[in-house]
Amino acid sequence: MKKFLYASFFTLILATAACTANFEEINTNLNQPLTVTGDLLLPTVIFDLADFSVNQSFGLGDIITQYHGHYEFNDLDIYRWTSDGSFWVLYNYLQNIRDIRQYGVENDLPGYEAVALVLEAYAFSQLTDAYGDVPYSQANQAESGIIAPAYDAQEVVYDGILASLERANQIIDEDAFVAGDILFGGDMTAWKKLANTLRVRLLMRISDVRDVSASLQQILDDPAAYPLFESTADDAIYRYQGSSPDLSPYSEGRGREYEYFLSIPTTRFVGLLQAHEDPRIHEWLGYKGGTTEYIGVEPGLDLGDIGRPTAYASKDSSFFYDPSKIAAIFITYSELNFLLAEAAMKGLISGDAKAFYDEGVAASFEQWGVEMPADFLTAKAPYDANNPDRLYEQKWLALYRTCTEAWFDWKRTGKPAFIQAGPGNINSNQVPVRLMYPSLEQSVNVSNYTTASQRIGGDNINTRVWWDK
Amino acid sequence: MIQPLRSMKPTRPLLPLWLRYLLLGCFAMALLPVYGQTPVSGTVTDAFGQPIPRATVTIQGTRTGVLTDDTGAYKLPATQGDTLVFSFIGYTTQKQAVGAEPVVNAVLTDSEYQLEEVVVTALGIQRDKKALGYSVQTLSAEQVSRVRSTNLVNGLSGKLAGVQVTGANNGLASSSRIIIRGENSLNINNNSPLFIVDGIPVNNSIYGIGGSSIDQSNLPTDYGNGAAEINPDDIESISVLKGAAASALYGSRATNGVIVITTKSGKNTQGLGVSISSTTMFSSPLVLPEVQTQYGGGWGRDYYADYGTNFGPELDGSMVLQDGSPGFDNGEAEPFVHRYQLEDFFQTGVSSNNQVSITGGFEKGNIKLAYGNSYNTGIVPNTNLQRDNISINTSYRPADNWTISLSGNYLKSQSDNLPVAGYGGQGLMYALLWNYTNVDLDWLRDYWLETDRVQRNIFSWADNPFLIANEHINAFNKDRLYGMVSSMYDITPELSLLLRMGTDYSNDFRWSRRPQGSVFHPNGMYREQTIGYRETNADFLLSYTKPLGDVSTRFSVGGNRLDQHTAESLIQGDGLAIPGIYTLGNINVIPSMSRYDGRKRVNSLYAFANLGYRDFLYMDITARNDWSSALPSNNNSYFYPSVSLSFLPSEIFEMGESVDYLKLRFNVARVGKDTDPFQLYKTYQFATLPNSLTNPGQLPNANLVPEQTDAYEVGLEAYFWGKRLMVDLSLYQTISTNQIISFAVSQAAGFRSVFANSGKIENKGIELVLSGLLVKKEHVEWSLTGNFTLYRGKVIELYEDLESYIIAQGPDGVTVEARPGGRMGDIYGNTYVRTPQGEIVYAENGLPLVGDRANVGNYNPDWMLGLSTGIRFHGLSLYGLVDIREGGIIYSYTHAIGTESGILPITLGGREDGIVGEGVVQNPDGSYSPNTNSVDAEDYYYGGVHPRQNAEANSFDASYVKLRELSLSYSLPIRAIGLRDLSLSLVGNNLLLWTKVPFIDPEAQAMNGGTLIPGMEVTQLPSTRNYGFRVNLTF
Repeated sequence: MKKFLYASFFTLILATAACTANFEEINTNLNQPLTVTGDLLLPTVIFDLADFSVNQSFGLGDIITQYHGHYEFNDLDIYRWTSDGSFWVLYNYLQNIRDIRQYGVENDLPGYEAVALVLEAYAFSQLTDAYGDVPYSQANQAESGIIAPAYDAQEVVYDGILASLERANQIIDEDAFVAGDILFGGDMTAWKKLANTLRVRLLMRISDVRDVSASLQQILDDPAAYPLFESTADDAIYRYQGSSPDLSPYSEGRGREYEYFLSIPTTRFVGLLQAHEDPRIHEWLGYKGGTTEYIGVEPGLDLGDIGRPTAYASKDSSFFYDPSKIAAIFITYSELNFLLAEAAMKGLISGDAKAFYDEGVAASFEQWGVEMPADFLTAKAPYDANNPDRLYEQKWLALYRTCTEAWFDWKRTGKPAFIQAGPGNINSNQVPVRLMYPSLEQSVNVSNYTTASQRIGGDNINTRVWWDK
Repeated sequence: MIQPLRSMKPTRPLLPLWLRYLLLGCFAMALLPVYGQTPVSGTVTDAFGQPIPRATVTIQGTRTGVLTDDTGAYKLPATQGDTLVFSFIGYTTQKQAVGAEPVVNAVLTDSEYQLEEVVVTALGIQRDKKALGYSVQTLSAEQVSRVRSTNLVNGLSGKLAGVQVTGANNGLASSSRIIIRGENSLNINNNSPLFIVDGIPVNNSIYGIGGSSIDQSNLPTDYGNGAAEINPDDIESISVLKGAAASALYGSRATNGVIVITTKSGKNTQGLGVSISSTTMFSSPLVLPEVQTQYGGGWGRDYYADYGTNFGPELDGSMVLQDGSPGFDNGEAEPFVHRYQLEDFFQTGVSSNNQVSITGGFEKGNIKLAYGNSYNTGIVPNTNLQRDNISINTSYRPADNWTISLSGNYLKSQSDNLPVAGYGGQGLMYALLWNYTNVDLDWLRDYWLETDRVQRNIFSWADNPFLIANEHINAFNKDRLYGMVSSMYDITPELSLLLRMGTDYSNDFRWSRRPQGSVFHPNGMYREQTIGYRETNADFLLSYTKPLGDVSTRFSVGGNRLDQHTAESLIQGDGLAIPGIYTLGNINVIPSMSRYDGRKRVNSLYAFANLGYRDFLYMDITARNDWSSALPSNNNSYFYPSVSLSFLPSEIFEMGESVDYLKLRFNVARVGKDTDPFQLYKTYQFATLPNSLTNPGQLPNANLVPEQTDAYEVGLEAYFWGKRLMVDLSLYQTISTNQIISFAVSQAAGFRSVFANSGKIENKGIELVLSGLLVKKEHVEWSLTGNFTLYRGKVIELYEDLESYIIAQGPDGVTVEARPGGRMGDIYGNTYVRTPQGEIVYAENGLPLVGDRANVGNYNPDWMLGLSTGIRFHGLSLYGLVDIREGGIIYSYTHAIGTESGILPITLGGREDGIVGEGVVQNPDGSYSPNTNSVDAEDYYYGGVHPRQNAEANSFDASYVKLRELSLSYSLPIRAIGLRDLSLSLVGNNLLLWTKVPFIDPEAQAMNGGTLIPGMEVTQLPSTRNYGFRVNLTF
């Protein structure tokens, strides 16, 4: 009997100990969903891209294109640049974009696929325009086992994203819909316009190395098939609600006053605005304290030569204190018109450069809610076929706060010409033309990093990318 | 205690006191009163005629027995012809027959040459130390609690060979990092040993809150590691199982060693006993950055507001309108003089600890009840920490062969405010290192311009330090219950069954407040975090013990079921409707909210055999199989064995007079390990906006397999000259493979990191304990003990051709990285550019060039030595412990920031005429010539000479010598009103520090969320020097 009891006891123990029946249930994560739908990822992507745009605009774009200069921590201003992973974060957003796209394809919801293609093209264009060659065809495939993706030549990336935009334009129809669209409220026509407007931007970007005139003309000639932005109402601008958590990274409640005011207007910015008695200056800038003067700082000064910010004008404070005032600008109707004006001026498309210019300038004033002086396009800053700089300068103003678009534009065109290295620069008087790859790539993706660096001619800030020859 | 002590042999002296009592208690318990015989009485004394209180007197062959009283006297009923057995731990047992006289006196002599020593091993099993084939080191109650630390783990520093303790300086509840035999895991949080209290695992995790150590708007708060809370006064002994062979029976979590804590019980008392102890200690900063007194706030020798740098004019008394000064609002200039006394910000901390315990030993059992409380105020104003702890430890014998035990601890910890740790607008040291030397802290004390809305701060970008201290509240309230019930039943004299169930349950509620008007939370902030943790262990252990001729055997099989449940929730609202009201209801924005609920179950079966041949050869074999719910179902079972051998040549060979005992030991062991819950499948995380999800940053992996650690150890133990000299030497090698880690991948792969089995880490080391009783006279004793630790952790390989794994991320790109061929703990960051001859290369602007990232050193020491000494003279004893650390580096943010801010005296050079840095410039032809470019002091110091990212420039040799503990105590010869013992002590810890590291304590550690990063100091708070007194009373 005793032996039987012991035997039973052991059997019981063994059975219990080795019992793994409910292990999978125990290890099931009930805190978070295993699957996802496109409408839940889309707000994340748009919000993340909005933050990205604002962060890059205030953190890099303002400085590198010399709207503003730092009065402290001015490494960026004097081109003491190191490895930069700040654009690489787009790959995390692209992971969500890929999932939206896949959701659309698998569930036969072309709206999601199209929106994902547009966002994907936008994200990859930012990446490649900043770095040159970047992982594209092998990117975002960790789940298939690729943890060290190869870099694609910029030309390949451009072929891919232009095709994506074309496909997006094709598959968007009236029946398509998306939910969770915090940019356009599910308006598929708006996305279609964005796809084509973005395509115009990217075609112009490669216009020095490719003949893009047929592609541009095709878009312009068939507005039904290729609708473009038609007014500032179509602008791809994400407007923060102004209440936590829907706040811009540079607004009060999320950002620090210090960071917002850390950069001060430059002589270039103040000078150009004042040269044309441009009233946007009052929207964008604040007077030097205690005066009614706008004093700019010379960009790229040695830190010791700058002094205190009190000696200069400042950025307009309401953009910081009014939590809904900073918006994330992706691409606008104004920019489209400047792109077309340039294309017309260069003869890439048929059309009146002046008309596009006038529309672009007027749209910018409208976009910023500033009334354009009646004589602005006739006397103060009229289109001047003999002075193409005028167009680029006004475009530069129109691109204010548009991520780093003005930098990409300057890289291609060299305009506005006043963007020059400042006296304190440590980059042999060259303005940087690309970002260095993130340092982590040198640790975790070495061979692909090395191949790409050699191919582009060295991973440094003075290597020109493919379209910038 | 699960093993009856019936086979215990008399033991040699200098056994830890606890063991004496323990044994004593057990004997006493077994004694049954017998009536109807004539009383025999007498006294028991030692060789010097001193009475031996609490010695055991029994009648041989019966259960009759008593303990002697304080005068060594006893009385018991006996009959003529009975043999009385007199015993006391540390003395040779003596037998005397009862003759015609009713008085039998005994003189016990030291049993100095008997070497049996009993230690607590895995599963709480007490074993003869000589039978162990692995290294175990024990600490007595006195060693643990003589000088109290707020964090139990800190109190272990320097007392154990092979054990490295690093306390953080993040406020009163600071965590402490403990590593045994180096780091085996690439996961920096996975290197802690397992803590066991009375047979039950207790949680030693750090539950983080907040971001990285430089997260401006969300710096972490250090609420302490789990084991910190264990009351040192409640500890009877600590046994440290260092190697895998010693700990293999504890399974997965014991890979990094085990700290086995036994709490005090009533076993050492006959009848009622009461003991009271009270400690009061004061604390003050041990090291503070020095503040220069020659130049004030500003830039380029001009005064400027809002700059934070002290490159302003000379503090020569000239009249300057100074921000923050009393006359500022009226535009009144005041003398520009030095006013900043950094030390004035801090106050004297007071810590008061009281403990009362009542013990009772009865015929069939015993009980201990204790209440302890500790109330601490910190050196940072408005910070405190309170702990209350009630414990019960009792056992009852319903029958001779059955013992039921219960051990329970209730711990309540709370604080009204703890500081944040790190560098940022909410950090205290940030505010203090960027202060102006011309600013009097008193100008800032009244920190509200408009209460709860607008602060008085002299810088727009930093909070007033007094606002931080008084309004940036991080409070918590934690209830914790841990303990066990067990039943030990002897089925037959050979066969016994232990059943045990234990739990560690805690609920930690934390809340943080930031007022409106604070720089990073202008709209105010309120946050609540709740962390619930429960671990339940159910065990059985069936043991069969039988000697077979010359062979002693013990066979056991056991099983364990571990259930773990962690539930964390967090609500944070970055906006408050009404200023000064901190409740969830007052949040006027969409709060960020999160919830984590994770469970894990591990079932285990194990078996072990302890074999002994005569008195000189012992072998232990263990085998364990675990099944873990956290691993994929096809790979969730893993088996691991160990074998250890102990050989005592001194028992069979003649080794000469001087050698008392010599033991050689050898063992080899493997331990398998699982991972945390939910690492197998990808789930989507809730994102910032409501109604939104996002991919996680880490990609799980459904193909994980168990981790594996293989360990080899050889050792030697020896006693010489009548145990006057003791040596314990161990050499070991540990190889960990298949580590489950989340390693960084190219972000272009779509995730920041991916889970996989990878990596191979090898640790080799030597540890040596050398202990000598230099003087042993009647009233004088002097002992000296050294604990030496040396280990090297080497990274053999990582995942596939991965070249680097980032173990921890410090500020400004300074990292701890594992690279194949490198050491564990290597720190990487930017360096100076140097010529082949090692000279620093300067740019044309006169500033040193910042060079490539490289390994700038390692945070692990070359070696460590804890030296303790004890001197006893009559009732007076002096004890001291010195911790010595040689080698290793620490990266100091205080050095970088204090240079940028011009507040440190090292920034005084060249203020008038500029500086020409010592080094060279590179000529266009590639050659070098001496640097002659002069640069203004402010440009030189402000991010020029040692910018933050230059890890080389900001790293220092972290060697130090610390007077870790000192105590002088006097035991008063008072024996009145039932008093058995009264002792008074002056105690102190961290009293003195010698180091080359400037401005900071070289033990400082950065904190990222819940992760401590050794070797990096990110403007941590000053460490404290603690001193006070202690009173012990025993009735």
